[in-house]
Amino acid sequence: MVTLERQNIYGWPVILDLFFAGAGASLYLLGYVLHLLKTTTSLIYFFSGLGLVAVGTFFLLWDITIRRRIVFLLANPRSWTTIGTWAISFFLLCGIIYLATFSFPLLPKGLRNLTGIISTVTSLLIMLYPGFLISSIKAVPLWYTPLTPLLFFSVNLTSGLATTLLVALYVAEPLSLISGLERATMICLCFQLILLFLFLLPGTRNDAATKESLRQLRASHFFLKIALLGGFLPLFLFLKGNNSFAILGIIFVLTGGLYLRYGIINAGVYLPRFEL
Amino acid sequence: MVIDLKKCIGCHTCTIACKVKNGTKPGIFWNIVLDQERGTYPLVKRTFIPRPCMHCQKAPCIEVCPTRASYRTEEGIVLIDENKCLGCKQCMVACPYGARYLNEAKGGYFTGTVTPAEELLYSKRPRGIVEKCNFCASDIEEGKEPFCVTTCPLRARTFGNLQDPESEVASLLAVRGGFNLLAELQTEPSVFYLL
Repeated sequence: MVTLERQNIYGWPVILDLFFAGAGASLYLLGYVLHLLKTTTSLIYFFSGLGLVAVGTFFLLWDITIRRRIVFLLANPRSWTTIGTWAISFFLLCGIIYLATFSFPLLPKGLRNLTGIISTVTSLLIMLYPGFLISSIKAVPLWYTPLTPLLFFSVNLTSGLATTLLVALYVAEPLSLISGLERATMICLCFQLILLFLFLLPGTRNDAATKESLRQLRASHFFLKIALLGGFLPLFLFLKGNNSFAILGIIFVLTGGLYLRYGIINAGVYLPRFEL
Repeated sequence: MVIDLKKCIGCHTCTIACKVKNGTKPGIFWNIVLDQERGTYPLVKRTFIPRPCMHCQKAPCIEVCPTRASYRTEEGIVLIDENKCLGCKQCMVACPYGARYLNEAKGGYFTGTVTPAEELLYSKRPRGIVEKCNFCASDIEEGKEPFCVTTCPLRARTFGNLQDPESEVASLLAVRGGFNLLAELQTEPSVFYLL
């Protein structure tokens, strides 16, 4: 008899970190792109992005038992956790300095450019590293696939676009920008659903652990819930072309993104450890 | 380490000996014995599989550890530096054998109290860090064998230097073969099993 164990080490703090930090970093990156394209002058995108990453970092720290040693997290450049910690540290530091250069015009212009570029590059790293970290775990075959980084990046980008749209609606940006963001969110949402569908196909992964992971996901109607509530429903709401519907659509996109992370993390089943 | 599954009768002496020696808290097992049933009635076979840390030569726990608290000694033993570990649990997720545990329990084995013996043993184990089998590294330094090896009543375990062709472990593997658990993951465990 084969005994299969589901991972129970990554819990809600990690899932909430993935959600907040992923969406926040993506929001910051998109805010920077909008500034580069001169389609907005509002700094709220940067503030919100930094805030969300800070919330995510809080949950990450919550999950660590000896927090006074967090500086040790920077020690192993071969570990994705270390790469992520460096990225978050530089992002928060440079992001704060970048925003400060707008409040203190006497600060050199070069500092603004430098911190702007560093914080944007690190925001991209924050979006990318969780997927690579999870996909490096060979013992959990559901995660150990090149699709995992792509899926996590795509879900981060979609959550970030939805949050950017929410901020754009809040600051009453021009209609052209709002409809552009809506279109981009819809395209990313479709891309994310296709990726999730491919991710959940057994394909060449015929091992007992992947089968058990997929069985658990099927039992909870995971794909159906994501596709309907986090996919088709928000698409329908965005197509209505009304701000109230768009806000409702954003809420569904974000909830779907959170549920997707929860589902994938919780469905991680280890290879049968002691099969003779 | 070489474990002869034909000799193991599932008495759990190694599990208890390990707990007594290392003073691990409830729910933490540096060594466990798994019970596996194969086949269907009437052709059923029962095998006991003792599971210490595999001390992999390509240990995933060392690769993912962001603090470098997990490390390998020159002798090939994977250890945890208690002063560097912060309990991020990445190594626990990465270990394919489930051999790592977070020490966070407060109580002892008896409800509502911690006995003086438990208090003494638990004081050696700092809370909030990850723990696992260390092959009784301090005993090995003194030329002794790990406690689970010396206490096994059936002498199912043999400990030695796998690199030395004259050693007992090397000759056992040469004569009877031997296999690793989850060898397909290419972690190169230092614990071999004989069937």
